[in-house]
Amino acid sequence: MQGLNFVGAGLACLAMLGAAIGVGNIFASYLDGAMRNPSAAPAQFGNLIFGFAVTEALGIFGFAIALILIFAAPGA
Amino acid sequence: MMVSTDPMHQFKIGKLFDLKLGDLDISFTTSALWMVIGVLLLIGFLALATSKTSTVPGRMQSLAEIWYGFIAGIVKDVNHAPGKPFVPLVFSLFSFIFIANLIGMFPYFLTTTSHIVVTGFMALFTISLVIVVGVMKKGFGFLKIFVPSGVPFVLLLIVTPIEIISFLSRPISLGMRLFANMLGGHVALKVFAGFVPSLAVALGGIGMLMGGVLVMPLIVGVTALEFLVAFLQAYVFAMLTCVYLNDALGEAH
Amino acid sequence: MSHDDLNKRIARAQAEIDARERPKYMAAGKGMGLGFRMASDFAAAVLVGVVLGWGLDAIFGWSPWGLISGLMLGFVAGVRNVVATASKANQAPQPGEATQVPERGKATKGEGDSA
Repeated sequence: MQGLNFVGAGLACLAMLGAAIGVGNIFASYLDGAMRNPSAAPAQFGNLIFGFAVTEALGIFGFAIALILIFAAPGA
Repeated sequence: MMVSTDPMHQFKIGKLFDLKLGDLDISFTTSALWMVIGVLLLIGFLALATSKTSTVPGRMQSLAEIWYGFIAGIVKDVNHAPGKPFVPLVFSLFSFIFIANLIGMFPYFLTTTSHIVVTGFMALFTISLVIVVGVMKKGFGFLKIFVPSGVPFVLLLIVTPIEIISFLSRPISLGMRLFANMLGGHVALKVFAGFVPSLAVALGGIGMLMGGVLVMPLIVGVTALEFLVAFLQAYVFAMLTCVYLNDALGEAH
Repeated sequence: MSHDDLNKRIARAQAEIDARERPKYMAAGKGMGLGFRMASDFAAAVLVGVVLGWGLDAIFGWSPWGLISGLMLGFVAGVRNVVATASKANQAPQPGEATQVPERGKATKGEGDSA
């Protein structure tokens, strides 16, 4: 049963799939809104970064689990 | 046939002749050969272009002037007056990367910038230069870039490690980006090109027709994109060198 | 005397050409370069944080906690990199933005087609 932690790490990286979709969605929506009302776009820049950070953080959690499984696995 | 469809085969480096310096292996490799060719091409072109300078520039001289003016413009935009001594450095970096990328676009030629040793060394050199120049200009005060002004002490405990990580990430991002773009682009090109023989083997005549009609325009498009990337990565490298030099030269921000 | 005058005239003409030509052919390349820059800056900061955290783990034996806190700090540093780059890029074209926005979109599209 050795090496299963690497399989787990690979599975944990699936979290980045969701993060990628989410980040794409956020920037797409921002551009969508900015094209409709360019004058309001700079005011929403902070919200854009906030949304990006939160979404990316959720992907990073998956990455963290992958790293822990590879480098600091509790059982290994 | 099988070897030529392996997308990583193009990045193999061979030894041309053996050289030893003590225990170090400093053999002259194909990568070194292509770098030397690139530098010789550059020197040859620039020497030719500037050999007969006139007030009204000819074709070669205009090209050299536009080339130099482009880099001098970037340095002027980013660093203003204090950046003037660094124009030759940025020009050399840009020209070397650009010519290496362009050489890599020819079939059977080696892309030297697709090896992380080359790009990583250039990135480390750039950051070392920033540190040396910063310490020479500001002395101990250079460390202030890690301590943003106007931040309460408790927050500094968190902000300073973040700034240090952000500073350490620069050489990695600088070297990795160039390396990854060149490697990725050439692998993509090779993989797309590999569709043609595999389609032909799998489907015979129809496969060859499909390869010609469907895949070939794709390869042409990707090649054009690669030319854009070749220029763009050299430009980004040169511009980031200027931006990082600003930390050493410019005002605190 | 006249040399100085010529230099001034060259500088003025150059500035005029720059103002007219630059946005046209630089827009597509600049956007793409900015994208590459932000993505790799973010990834590199996370990577550095992880390596530093892992190194602290190996030296002091804090097992998973150095890695985790290094990752968090690296993530924050990455977001800070992205914010710094993005806000600088946002600031640059501010003057005359209203007239530039539609033109820029067109220029980008044209460049993309030819590439």
